[in-house]
Amino acid sequence: MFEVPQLIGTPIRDIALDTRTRVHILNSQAADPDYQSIRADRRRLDTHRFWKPRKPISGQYNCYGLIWASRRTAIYEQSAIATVFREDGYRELGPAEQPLWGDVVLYFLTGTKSIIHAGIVSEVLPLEVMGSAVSNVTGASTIWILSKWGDASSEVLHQLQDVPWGTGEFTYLFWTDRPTIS
Amino acid sequence: MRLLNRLLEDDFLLSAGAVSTAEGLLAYLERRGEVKELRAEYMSNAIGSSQIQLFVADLLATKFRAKQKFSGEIVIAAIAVALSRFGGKFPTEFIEKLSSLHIQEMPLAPKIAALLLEKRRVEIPDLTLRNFLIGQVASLERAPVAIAFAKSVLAGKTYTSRTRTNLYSPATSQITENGAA
Repeated sequence: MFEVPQLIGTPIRDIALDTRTRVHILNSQAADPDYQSIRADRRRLDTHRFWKPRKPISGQYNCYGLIWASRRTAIYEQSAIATVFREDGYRELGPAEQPLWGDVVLYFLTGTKSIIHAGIVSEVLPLEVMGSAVSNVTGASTIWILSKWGDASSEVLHQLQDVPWGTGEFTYLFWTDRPTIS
Repeated sequence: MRLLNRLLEDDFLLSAGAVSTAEGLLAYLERRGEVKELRAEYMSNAIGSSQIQLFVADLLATKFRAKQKFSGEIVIAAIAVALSRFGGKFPTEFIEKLSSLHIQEMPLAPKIAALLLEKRRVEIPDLTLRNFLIGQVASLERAPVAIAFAKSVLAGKTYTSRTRTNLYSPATSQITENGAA
């Protein structure tokens, strides 16, 4: 049944990619987008009017490759992400801590520990109501994330909860490599 | 077949295609209504292994291009997830062959198949007959054949594949392959 991909498929290519402690990170470079990926990407951009495109659709890397491999390759295994977090000294943000630009947001499927996406916090803006900032009072802010969806899509800036999944389908947690506030 | 075609629709691919880990996509697909429906249809024989084979073969023949992302891998992964709870030759072969692919064009579906195989290694040996639902019972007109068969077994006669062909209706033999083989 899978003879066609077996015969004409391109063997997986990985690159040298290690953590700070020289533990290898499993990776493989993604193929160029096909017609259907291009169409899907266009539809996503049309549906999410507030997304700000940064870079047109490309292959090569996915969201994790964007964050931890400088857009050179894709990371597909959750175990590889756990390795990066452990070896590169990431920690989850405490409940009283505000995310800052450069922190990482992980999206999980609700009720599971399955990671479905990751993005980089790129802007933390004060939340405004009727033209005045309310974040000083409530701590609320508008958080913008730099993301790539899957391994064949555009790179976009989007608000934290403005993602391709429905409300209730996902939860998120912030992680950082900043030291703990004592 | 209509259900299989629904897996090709943009709405399914827009959200499932945005998931980037094999573990995440597997968990996501497990929750999707399309996958649950496909599982139910396979269980009730509304969709058979030959239809799935044809659908996948057609998808690969028309959409798979070397050195290009194969978007259809999400659909194939969804089928693998739907089949993963069934024993039998077809689901096992489907998942095993999928897991053996190591190609750039479809990086996620084979990883999902490998995770499913691992899961099956743990879960399938623990299954008992009680875990399998019987979707459709052979028609009553076959009852005399079944009784004759039972008598021949009791009499110690040899059981042959010819007897089996006569005994089971096509629907019943399909159930055996889907679930209880």
